Amino acid sequence: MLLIKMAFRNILRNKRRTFLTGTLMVFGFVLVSISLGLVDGSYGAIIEAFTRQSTGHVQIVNSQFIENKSINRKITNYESLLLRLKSHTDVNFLTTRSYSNALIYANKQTYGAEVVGIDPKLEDLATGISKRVYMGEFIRDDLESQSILVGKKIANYLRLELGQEIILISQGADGSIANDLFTVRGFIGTENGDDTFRIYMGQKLFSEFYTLHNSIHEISVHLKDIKKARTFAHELQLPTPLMARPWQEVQKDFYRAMEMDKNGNTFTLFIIMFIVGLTILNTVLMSTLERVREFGVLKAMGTRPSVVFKLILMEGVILAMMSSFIGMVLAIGINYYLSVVGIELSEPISFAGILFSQYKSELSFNSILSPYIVVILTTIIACLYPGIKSSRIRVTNALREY
Amino acid sequence: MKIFLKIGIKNIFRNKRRSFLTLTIISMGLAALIITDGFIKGMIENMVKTITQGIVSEGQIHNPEFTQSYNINDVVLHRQRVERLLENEELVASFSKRVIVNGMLSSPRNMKNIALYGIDPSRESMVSRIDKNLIEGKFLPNEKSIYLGKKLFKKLELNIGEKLVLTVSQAGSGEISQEQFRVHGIFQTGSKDLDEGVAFIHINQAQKILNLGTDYHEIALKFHDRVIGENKNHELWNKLNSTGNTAETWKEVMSSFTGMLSYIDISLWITSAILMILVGIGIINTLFMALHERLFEFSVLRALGTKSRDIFLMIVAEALGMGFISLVIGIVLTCLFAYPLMTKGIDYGGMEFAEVTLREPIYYIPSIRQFILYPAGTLIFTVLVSLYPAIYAAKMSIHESLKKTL
Amino acid sequence: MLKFLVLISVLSYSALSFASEDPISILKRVDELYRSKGSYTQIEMQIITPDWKRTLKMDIWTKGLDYTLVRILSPRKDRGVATLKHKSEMWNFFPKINKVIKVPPSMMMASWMGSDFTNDDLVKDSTLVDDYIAKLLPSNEKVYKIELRPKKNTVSLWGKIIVEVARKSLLPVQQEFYDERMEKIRIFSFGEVKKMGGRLIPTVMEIIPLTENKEGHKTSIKYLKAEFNKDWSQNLFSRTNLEKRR
Repeated sequence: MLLIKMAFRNILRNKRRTFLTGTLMVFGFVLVSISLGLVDGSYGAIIEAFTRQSTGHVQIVNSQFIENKSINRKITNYESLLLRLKSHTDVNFLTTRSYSNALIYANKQTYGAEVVGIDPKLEDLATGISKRVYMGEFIRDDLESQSILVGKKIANYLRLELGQEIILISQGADGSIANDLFTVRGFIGTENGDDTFRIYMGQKLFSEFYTLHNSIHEISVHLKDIKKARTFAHELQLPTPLMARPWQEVQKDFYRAMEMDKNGNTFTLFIIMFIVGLTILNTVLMSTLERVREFGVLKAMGTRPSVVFKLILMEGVILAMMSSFIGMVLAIGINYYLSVVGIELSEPISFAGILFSQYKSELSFNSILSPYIVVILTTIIACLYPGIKSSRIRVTNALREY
Repeated sequence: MKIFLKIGIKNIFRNKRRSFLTLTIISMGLAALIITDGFIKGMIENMVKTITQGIVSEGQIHNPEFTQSYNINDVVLHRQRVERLLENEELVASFSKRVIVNGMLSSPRNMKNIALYGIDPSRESMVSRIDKNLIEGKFLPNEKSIYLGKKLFKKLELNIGEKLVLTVSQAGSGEISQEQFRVHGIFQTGSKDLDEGVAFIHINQAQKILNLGTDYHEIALKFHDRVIGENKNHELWNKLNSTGNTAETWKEVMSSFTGMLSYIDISLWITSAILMILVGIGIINTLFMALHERLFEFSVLRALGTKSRDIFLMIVAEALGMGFISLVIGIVLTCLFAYPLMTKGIDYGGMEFAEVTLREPIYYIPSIRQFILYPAGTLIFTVLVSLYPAIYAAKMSIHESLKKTL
Repeated sequence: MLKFLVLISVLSYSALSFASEDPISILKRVDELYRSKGSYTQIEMQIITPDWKRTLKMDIWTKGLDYTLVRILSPRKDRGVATLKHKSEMWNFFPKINKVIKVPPSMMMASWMGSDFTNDDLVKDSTLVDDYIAKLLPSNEKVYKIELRPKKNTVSLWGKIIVEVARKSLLPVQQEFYDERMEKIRIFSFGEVKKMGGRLIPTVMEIIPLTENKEGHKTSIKYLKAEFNKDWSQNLFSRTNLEKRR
């Protein structure tokens, strides 16, 4: 207790030294935090946007559907399952989808497209699909209007116009010949990504067209916290042949690409942390060695070497903790600002068909915790050498300095 | 005055430990900056090569309608004029004509819709590296050969040398036309779209079965100087556009990639900014520490009649000296780290980024900018940063400094 | 498929006049007879897949090799869907949307009405003699075995086709399709020889694909009515007639 008091008093006594060392630690903390925040932010944003727009966090499908997207590898009687999922505390949004293919005939041309049946309301809540409609309007889930959304590339290829009637031909789930006229309500997507080769229609319409008898192919679960995806999928009890897969499995390639690139950034991050560590080491080392005389006096008064060592360490850690706290407050502020405002990109970039126009930070747990470890750990390491040296110093030598 | 510069430099060696730490910080910062820059340069170069040596090539010419419609009837306009223009243009190294159409490939076991490219094998190999992506067999050895991606080949459950049937609808009439081809070679690019959904045949065959005559849909360009393919304002593009066709640089064709370049630029900018701030703080801190440690010394100097300007110079000289030594260490460090990155590179194992596949390892690419601009910048920065403690020391009164030491 | 339906009628027609054991003259005879006649048949087609099973009833008219018209009678949902084939082109008529649609190349190799026939099977007018090299294989007492290998310029998926023809009746018994690795890809088999439309014909035909991705698939056809040697007017195979609802 006495030691802590002494350490405190020492810190407060030499304000200049404390200020210099402290500012450095604060800066170090903030910089590490910002770099981590930006890395997490840019990846977080990409992963967030990607999972939100396409896969969701956890997908429930008929296990056979994964290998062969056949219309008959479906989920029947899904209502009770939906109710169960809805009541789960981790679940934010749910959306159901059905998939098949069809041949589109329009303007004397044909195009083979993927047809996706969605529940327009749920889908929009979960994935914000209506915002991806760049022309025309969003669809409703009714049988009367026969309205569909058409992907950009298909629309360009077939030279479609809004309100135009197009023919879809396919095969129903019972082998029957699915054929009908549909009205183009809107165009969706960008030049690349999934949307561009797709047609979206309401679930009811899909079920009717493909004679699917109110079955679906996929339940996409959006969790409140994306980090729980793996455990959620793992712990979910489902009747066979259904299975739940987290986004990391559904989009293996995408996940791998993210991980690899994150590793590339780790190199830069490591260097930044290393330099922060070195700077702290430098400052602590100098400010301690400056006080060799002081420690000599302490020893002359009969203080044991271990106590001197502890004192030096204690001072460092207390200072590091105080600076980290200030650093944290600043870092949270800056990261928050960058996560809200972001840095504008001169030209939006497209990743997997999703546009990013900003470089954003993320106020992640990691970006706050890791700097703590960096600052405090390097302080301890930095204190070791001067600590040992000062505790071992001979009184006469110490007092002779200056 | 000279003497104070000397003292400044000498000071560096007086407190070796302190100087060592400061030198490490500056040199590490510099090395990190150079390596990051070189690595990102390598990554961009890698991607650009993948694009310009791939099917995209350095530039493309189409019928203006074709890029949107992919309609078989939207062929390159005034092709003779375009060809003559390209042949006489000194900037153009080579060009390759391509027929592009959607078709259906069927084997006895399976079938798949594909994008069919009709190419002239010898000309194509001067423009793109499609022929170099061969992993088995031969690249279109005769007119009845078809060249498939590995995934497509697997899907159709074929063996090398086996036949398959291509079904297409002809230009104009839309009549269905079928032809038989043999798989004589397979390729792998790492791009899912290419490996799974594209097949190449001889352009003569493509024109014949499609009833296209000598028409085609695309001209892929290669220049003597790659810069032309990056600069859409180059007069050559106007010249080509004046034929009524749309000529585009690869940057325009791959607009999503161009967007990503700006993203990388910002990343690099942020990283350098953070590194610079760190290095700066390190230097200020060291100099201040050293300053305070030596206040007594300064006050003695001042008491002896040294002008404040000289003290200022002394501190700046110390920083300058430190900056110089750091440059040397930094560059040595860079070379040590960069060497394996330059020779072995880092393998990203075919990951796809903004529609570009990183198939080859990424190598560190050195540049003049890295070894002139960054070191010079670091040096100037070091001196700038030292100005504050230098002014501080120079302005200090003797009375004050003597008081502070005690 | 329709080709084979025609083949059946033709083979039965020519049965009596046929005697030679030379495979080329067999097939030549077949081809000659092919071209001259028209037919009407009503069939029941049963399609079995791992996921569903359905039975279609349809009317088929043919005129020579060039024209074929198919109209679905049941199930009710698909009633009236019709296919017209003229040479290498095909059109489908869908009464529900009242539209005629030309089958695009991308669909040519796809399944016809969900069966194990491809649209291409319907369209191909390749005459066996012109396009294949025929060889009589050592046959047993009951059947002639004829091996057909595609000629160099023939567009064909197959490595060889083995046709089995009954010695006595000269009716087809089986056709086996091999790829170039000489692995069997699919089998057509014919059975239940009955007199229909004045001719003795196999009234049941089965198509069994043998590839892995088609496991559990089977299509069988049963003749309900057959009339041969008809002289159909050209109008029957017109686009206007295709669009006529029944």
